[in-house]
Amino acid sequence: MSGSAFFEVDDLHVHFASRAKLFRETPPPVKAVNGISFSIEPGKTFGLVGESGSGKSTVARAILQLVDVHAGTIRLDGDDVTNVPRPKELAFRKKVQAVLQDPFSSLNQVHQTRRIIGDGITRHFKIKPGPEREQRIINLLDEVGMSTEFLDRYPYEMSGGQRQRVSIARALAVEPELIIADEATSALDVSIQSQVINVLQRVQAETGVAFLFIGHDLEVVKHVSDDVGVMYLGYLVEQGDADAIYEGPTHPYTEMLVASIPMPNPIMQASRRELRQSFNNDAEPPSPARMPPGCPFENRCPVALDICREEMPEPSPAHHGGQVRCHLHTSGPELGGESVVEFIKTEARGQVAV
Amino acid sequence: MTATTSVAQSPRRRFWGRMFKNPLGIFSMIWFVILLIAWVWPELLATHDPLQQDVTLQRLFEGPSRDHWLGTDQLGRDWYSRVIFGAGYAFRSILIAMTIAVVVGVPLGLFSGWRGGRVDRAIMWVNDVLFSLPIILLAMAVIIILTPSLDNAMIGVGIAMSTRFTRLTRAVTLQEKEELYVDSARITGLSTRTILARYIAPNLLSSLIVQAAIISGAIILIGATLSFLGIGASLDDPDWGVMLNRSRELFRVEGVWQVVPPGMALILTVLSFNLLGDAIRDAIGRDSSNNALSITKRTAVTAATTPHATGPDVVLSVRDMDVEFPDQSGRVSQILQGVSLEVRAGETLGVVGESGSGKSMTMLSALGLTPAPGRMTRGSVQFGGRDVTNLTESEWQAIRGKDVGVIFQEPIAVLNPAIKVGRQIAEPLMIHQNLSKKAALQRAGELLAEVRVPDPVRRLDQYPHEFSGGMAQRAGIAMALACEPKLLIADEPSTALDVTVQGQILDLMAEVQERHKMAIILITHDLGVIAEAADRVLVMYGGQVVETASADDIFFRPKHPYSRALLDTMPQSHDGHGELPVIRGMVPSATAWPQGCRFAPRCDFVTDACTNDMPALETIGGDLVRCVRHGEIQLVPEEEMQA
Amino acid sequence: MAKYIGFRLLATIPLMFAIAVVTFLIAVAMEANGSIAIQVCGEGATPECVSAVEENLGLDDPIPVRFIQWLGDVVSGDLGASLLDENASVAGLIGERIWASVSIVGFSLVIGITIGMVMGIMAAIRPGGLLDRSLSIVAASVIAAPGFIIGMMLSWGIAIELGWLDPIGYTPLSESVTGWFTSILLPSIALGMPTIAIVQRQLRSSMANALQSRYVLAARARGVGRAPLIRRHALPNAMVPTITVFGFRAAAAIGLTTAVEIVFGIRGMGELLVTAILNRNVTVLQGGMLIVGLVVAVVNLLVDISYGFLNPKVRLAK
Repeated sequence: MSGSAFFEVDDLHVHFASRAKLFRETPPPVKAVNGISFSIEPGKTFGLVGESGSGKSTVARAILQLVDVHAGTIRLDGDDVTNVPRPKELAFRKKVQAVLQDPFSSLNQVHQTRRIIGDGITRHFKIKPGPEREQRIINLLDEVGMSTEFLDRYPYEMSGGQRQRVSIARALAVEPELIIADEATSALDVSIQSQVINVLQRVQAETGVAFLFIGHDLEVVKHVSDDVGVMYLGYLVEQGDADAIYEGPTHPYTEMLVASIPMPNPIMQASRRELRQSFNNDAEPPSPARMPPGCPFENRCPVALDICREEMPEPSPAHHGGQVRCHLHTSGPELGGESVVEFIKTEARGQVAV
Repeated sequence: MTATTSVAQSPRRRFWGRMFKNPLGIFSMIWFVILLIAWVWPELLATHDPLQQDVTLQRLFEGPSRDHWLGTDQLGRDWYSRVIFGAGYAFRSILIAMTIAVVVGVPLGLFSGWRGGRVDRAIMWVNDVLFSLPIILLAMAVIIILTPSLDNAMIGVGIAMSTRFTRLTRAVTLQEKEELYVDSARITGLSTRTILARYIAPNLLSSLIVQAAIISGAIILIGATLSFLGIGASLDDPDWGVMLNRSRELFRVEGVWQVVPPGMALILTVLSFNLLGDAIRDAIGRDSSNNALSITKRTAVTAATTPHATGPDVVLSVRDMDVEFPDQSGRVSQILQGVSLEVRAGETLGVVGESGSGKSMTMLSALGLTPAPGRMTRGSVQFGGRDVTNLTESEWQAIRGKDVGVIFQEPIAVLNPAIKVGRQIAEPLMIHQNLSKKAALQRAGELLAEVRVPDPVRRLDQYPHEFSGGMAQRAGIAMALACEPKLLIADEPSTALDVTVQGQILDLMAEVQERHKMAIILITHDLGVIAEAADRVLVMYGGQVVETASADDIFFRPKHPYSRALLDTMPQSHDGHGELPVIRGMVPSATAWPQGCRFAPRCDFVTDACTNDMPALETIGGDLVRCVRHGEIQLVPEEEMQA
Repeated sequence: MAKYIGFRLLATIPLMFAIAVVTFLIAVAMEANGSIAIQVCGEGATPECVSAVEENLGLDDPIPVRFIQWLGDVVSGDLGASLLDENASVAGLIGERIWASVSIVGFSLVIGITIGMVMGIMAAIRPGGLLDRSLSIVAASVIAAPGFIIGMMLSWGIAIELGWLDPIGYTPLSESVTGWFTSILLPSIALGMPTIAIVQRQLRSSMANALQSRYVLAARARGVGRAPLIRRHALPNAMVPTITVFGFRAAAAIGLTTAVEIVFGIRGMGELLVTAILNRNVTVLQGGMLIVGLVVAVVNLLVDISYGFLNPKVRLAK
């Protein structure tokens, strides 16, 4: 969390204003992202995981200048890149690229692969269509494991996996320092997903590009990431080393997330199910438009304290070297950053009443 | 199903190919060419001077003859030639009105849609006011301010029609603006001007052309109406509307023929513009939803050769099922080939496969719900020991919802948006148990409580859009369970839901199965869900069953290379961050199944034998496997065998 | 629902105001041409005559003041006098003619929506069947035919050749109910036939979409039969786009009735407006357009309200 990081997000807030209504009070803005901070080192991958409505994609869109940042700063190579002004936008785009979720709609249906990849080369390196640009496009296709026959293909003539490879090649075309992959493999079949993940990891090893990898599947995010952050309703509830968090989560929501991923192994899954059922709770997450004053996970948390209903906990250090936002570590049982797994196993059965 | 690689064909060639296959499109294009000639060079087609009167007054109101192909009018002028010259007035009208409409409407819509916010709302409010007024009235307003003439009227029509283009352009711009490819273009660093000109505009063009064709027809209609009223073209001009204006008193005395030549010219022209618009729309369309409407005729189903599973506890038994789909060009793809399965009371059968493997189609076809134009061509289905292969739709209605309930993947999309949720849950109760509406609604409330929907009575009165995905899926389960069916088919019941909600839904299904002792067929792409819930597993690939076994055997002793590979590629199967094992290549499409074993091109154990003949589904100790090498290959590592 | 209707009612006020502004501006534009005074005083008019007319019409005042005065008159029901006949009040002229037009448009819309819906449903039940294909060809041709041509055909065939009905004239409802009905029957059919075709086409295509939807598949999986599937599941959803298209057609029919009335020799709004245009009779035209505009606004309101009945999302959002 030092100020000298290559890429750094500091206390990021993104709000969406509600539309004014006639004859009625304007509802308060929806706070999609609330005070998120993380950093990425060159050549490393930071994974952001969360379910729908967690605000993880909004973080990506804020970094990519697609939505306005309400408060906080984003820094790249020491430069402030929060709400980049128009004249500086091109220089920013040269450094930060993205691979977006839907392989269908993220490619323009009326353009062939050559144009999809070549547009960025022409824009940033001033290389007009010609043999030099063609060679670069062929090299990029080769890098993502595609042959030259795809140069003339339209997106609808390619499969989901192939389209996603073209998206990766498009991002690589401008030789960026950071690529944001927003649910880049979510829409793909399992057997294709692993191919695309391998392409991403190989590209990173070869070019040293940093990744912000966003997804809803903790297993996938953990696999590709060095560090992960877990988001719930706009808050980063836990962050730190990917494997350590997976093995010893310190936030009950992270633990619930781990327990909810079904394992392809009946024996392991039986114990996961048991763990999952300790969260036996049919409550729904609160609506982002009407957030409670306390911790947003309080109504689903099997070990919630009274204080959880009243105030949002501040980040505190966790055993994995990262941070956690949960009262259990500072109030009540004072876990002090240790894993929450054993605590939940014992407490959830006896129903805590602290 | 997913779109897959097709033979590369340029969009332009495909467009003209489809246009020339459409008889109505050809008709309109031919008529269009004739009109164009009549406009540019009327003398080429006309046989007489359109203004030449018969001074002898001998040949007035004649019918068609060799000299006057369409007869003569009240002044003895040649109808045919007058109609030919009239085309010029029609095209002149289109030219004036369309130019104004496009030049005003398109940029305004593009600006309004791209800009959004307050500016957009203000522009659209004014636009909608003008849009809602009758075009004839707006044309009249312009005529009275200037002077009555067809050209002035067309200025008014052009302004009125611009509101149509503004609306369309804005709608497309708004829609395209939300597409990820526009975000991608911004991320690449392209300027707004480039994005509008090279990304939005091409996607707009096709809609604009369709709209322009249809509006051209409307412009001619309105122009003719104004001329007919006497406030359009000058009463001396050979304009179709003016001719009809002259005929309107005469037809009562001289017969209806006086209306026919200009009337038919007008109608055919408007019709051809409309048909042209439709034909262009159909030819551009990337999906051909219209073709899917054609009725599937009931055809004979070839009988299955494999005997059915027997026993009192067998709920559903499917044998040797083939399902075929003809595509637009009439080629037939086999979506399912020789699918067999059975499920017993109290048991959960997991069906697993990737997209396009045919797992959902198996379920639909087993219930007689094969979507048109697909059809089952071979096989046999038994439900509770009864042969249901050839049931009629109304015979099926008595079974579906009563003996078998279905849960779908998209919980909100399967609820009717216009009907209250309570009413939808009550529906099967009213149909199958003859409950009154009141009793059925009360039972629906109990069912919602049973699937643990909070505040069930209030929820009954809500519409689907007021439900979250998880709650809607609970309502879906309540609906499927309403008549306590013997079989529950769940097609990806938790895939569209958040992972923490997925667990709740799976728990709920286990709970109701325990309570009602029903059989469940659980369709999923996720082997983790299979590990959680299935007793027996059926693995599908390329429209075929490739392996069936107990859940333990599939995970610990798989017999088919695909089952093993599918398990290996899951990130859950790996600690660490190294390269994941992959299945090379891509999922095959039904239009081009590989020769021999359908998995052969992606299989690590492939030999020549695999690519020659399609392997049969062999029985090995009660389990099934479709692989010629199943006895010789080692799919389980040594250390795991010992463990 | 009451709240929703109230909201839509309020939303109609700005629309009516906009219509008033447009109508008023027509007169302003005409006097900028100098064409009003010329119309009254004739070509080569003396300046005295012109200024007398302009003073008479109050054209000396600033435009906003005149607009407020005019609007005040309009709201109190005074649409002024005909420019060419000071004794004829515009409101009276319109009052004599509007009911014929309203009868024809109204009845044509009733015919259009009822027969159009029946035919649309019939076509959607067996998409691609013989009935569907023949209906779609007939509908396409009828949409291309203007009401006044259909009117001439009907008039010739049914009134003249068969002699079943009078080819021309209008009988007010106050005189005779059957006379009224027989006098508007043919014009309403002429104006209504394209409406039938438009409704049929739209309903058929949106029904086809609805019948392919996931919720219809799910309803079939619950054992819902063919008839309730169409009536209860597909129809309400398919009606939403159909009502939209019907609303557009209703506005168009209000304009197109002018030509149909003339075919049947009915002295309705059509004749009034056309004569006013030819005579450049600005006060009559202004009043006529205002009234027609208000009728359009009312039709829009009815369409919006019927959305509320069909689409719960619209109703609950307000």
